This record gives sequence, structure tokens and C-alpha cells, in this order.
Amino acid sequence: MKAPTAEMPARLERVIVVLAVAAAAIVLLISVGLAVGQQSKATRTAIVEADDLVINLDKDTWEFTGKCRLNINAGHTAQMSAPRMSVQFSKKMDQILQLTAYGPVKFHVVTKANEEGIRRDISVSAQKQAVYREAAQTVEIIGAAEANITTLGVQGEAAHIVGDKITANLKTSQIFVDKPQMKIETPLED
Amino acid sequence: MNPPINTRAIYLAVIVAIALVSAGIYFYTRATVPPDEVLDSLPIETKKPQAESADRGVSIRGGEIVQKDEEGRVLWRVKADGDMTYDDKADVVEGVNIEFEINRRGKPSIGIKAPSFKADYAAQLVTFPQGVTGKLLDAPGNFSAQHLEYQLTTAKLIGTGGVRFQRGHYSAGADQLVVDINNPEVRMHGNVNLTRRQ
Repeated sequence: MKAPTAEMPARLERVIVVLAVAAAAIVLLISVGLAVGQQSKATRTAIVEADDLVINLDKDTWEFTGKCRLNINAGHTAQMSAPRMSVQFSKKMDQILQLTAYGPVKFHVVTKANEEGIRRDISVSAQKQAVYREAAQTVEIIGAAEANITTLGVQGEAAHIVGDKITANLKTSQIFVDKPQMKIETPLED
Repeated sequence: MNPPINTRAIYLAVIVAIALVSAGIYFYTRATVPPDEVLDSLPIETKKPQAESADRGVSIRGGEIVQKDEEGRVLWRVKADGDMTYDDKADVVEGVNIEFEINRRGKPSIGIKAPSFKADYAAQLVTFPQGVTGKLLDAPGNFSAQHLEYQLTTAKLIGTGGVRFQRGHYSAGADQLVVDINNPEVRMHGNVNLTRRQ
């Protein structure tokens, strides 16, 4: 066994100081994480407009009727319109879990610029319904869905897609089509 | 010769700086989160009305009126911080700075705060003519309106003028708000817009 020396308290002190610095750094990281989380929620906004709204307080259902419009702003701008929309919130009422629009539904989005700076204008319509999920930033359009996609700034380049279900991922600016039928138009070069 | 650098002082300075930055971020984050409940609770105290002389009817200061149904269940009660006047000829009660509580099946359902109110017994109508705020007492939710009416025959509250209903982080505005006391339902009509409170 080592006899206690004058070096020991100095080492112990250094260890305590290092541990304190590490703890403070962890607290700082958690604070930054909370702040970033808060800001990402704040910058993602969904606004619903309609003629009428009925809130059932027991079932906690929010039903919008009459010229319903959903505006989503999360770096891109997207709108959805339908005669009826039903909103389901999180338990804390801090997020839209799911918004279901009942047909006929129209959805329009201008995507964020990709790595090449290209933006696309996408218009989708469907007879049955559409489902918007805020956390995933997806819109599922169901029932004889038709999409018209045009590339902004490129004249004449367009695509017409028909499918049972079209899913738009607003985070990645991607479109997924179930059972697709597709027609692409591109301008002929001279 | 330079004095030796005190490493302990440097460590302490780093810790203090990190703690200050952390505290700053924490309080900034807290400040951006809206409170779940905006309105305070609406306690109703029972005080014996003290009648004062008036030109017509009875004037009461700091009183409370409790309205019950045939079975003795409380329908509504109102408490005024300011004057309350009862006009026996018109069968009307008016009050200033009031807290009004509506009961559903004998239990508190809605609390209302308003600068003034008028209960017309003949018309079976209670009117809150300006700047009304309300709170659901049996479910989360607050509302506000410039003008509010409580129809005693239909048990409905009808608000107009910049109405808003708030629940959690979301707030809905419209031209008109109807709260159905018997079927716990809130209806909003005309130019409805739902937004998330930042």
C-alpha cells in the first residue's frame, strides 16, 4: 500500500475539476439540444382555415368544414384544400399528429431547391382523402390520385402521374406513387 | 518574471462561463414556450350581500347571487367585486367586475370573467357586453370574446367579436363562438383559423 503523499490531494483536486467541467459541458449540451428542439417546432407551422369548426370536448376531435385550407410552412410552402378536415392533436396539444382531409382533395407544393438549385411545382388531386402527418412531414393522397409536376425555370418539362396513392415527403421533396401510370413531357432540342 | 498561471482559477472561470451560457439558453427556451393555461382559476367565495339604499331596486356591493333549478342544483352563480344592482320592476340584475360560473348537472363547467354583466330574468338571457374571458372548468380550454350571451333556455353561450378558443399550444379564431353546456361542444363559425401559438 502506498503511503499518502503531497501529490495525492493535488491529483484528487485535478480529477474533481475535470469532472466539474465535464458536468457543466453536459448541461450546456442538453440546453442547446432543448433550444434547437424548440426552434425546430417553432419554425414548422401549419395553419388551418375553414368556414366552421366543431370541437368535441369529450372525444377531443376538431372537425373543420366548408372551404377548408391547410397551409404548411416548413422551409417549403404547401397548401391543401378540401370540403372537410379532421385534426388529431398530441396529448399535450403541442403538435398535429394527423390531419385527414376528406375528398375531393387538392394539394399543391413548391419544393425546396435541390443541390442543383432546381425547384418543382407539384399539384396533386384525389377523390377520396389525404392525410398530413406533421412529425414526418408527409402527405398521403388516396383514391384515383393525379399529380402534375413541372420543373420551375425549365420550359416545357412536365410529368403527369396517375396512381392509387401518391405520397409527398416534404422533408426530402420526394414523391412516391403506388401503381403508377406516368407520362413525361420534355422539350425537343433544336 | 511572469507570475505562475493559476490553473484552478482558469477551470473555475470556464465552469462559470458554461453555467451562465446554459442558464441563458434554458431561460430563453422557457420564455418561448407558452403557458398551458393563460387564465387563473376562478374561485367563487360566498359572501353575504350587503344591501345599500338605491333610487330603484336593490344595490349590493361585493355580493354573490346563486341561481338554482327546481331540484336545488346550482345553475349559475355570479360574484361581483363592484356594485350589483337588482331592478325589481324590470326583473334585471346588473353587476360590475364579475366572476360568473355556469354549472352543468350541478357541477362547475365554465368560469367567466367580465367587466360587467346583465341578467334579464324575463328574457332568460345573461349578457356580458365587453372584454370577456372564459375558462372551461371540466376540460382544458380558454376562450375570449368582445361580447358574450348566455341563453338560459338553450344552455348555450354565444360569443361574438374577435372570438378565440385556446387549448394547449393551439388557438382558433372565428367570427362567432358557441359553447353548448349540455353537449360539451365548442362550435366556431365564420372565418375560422387555427394557429399554433409561438
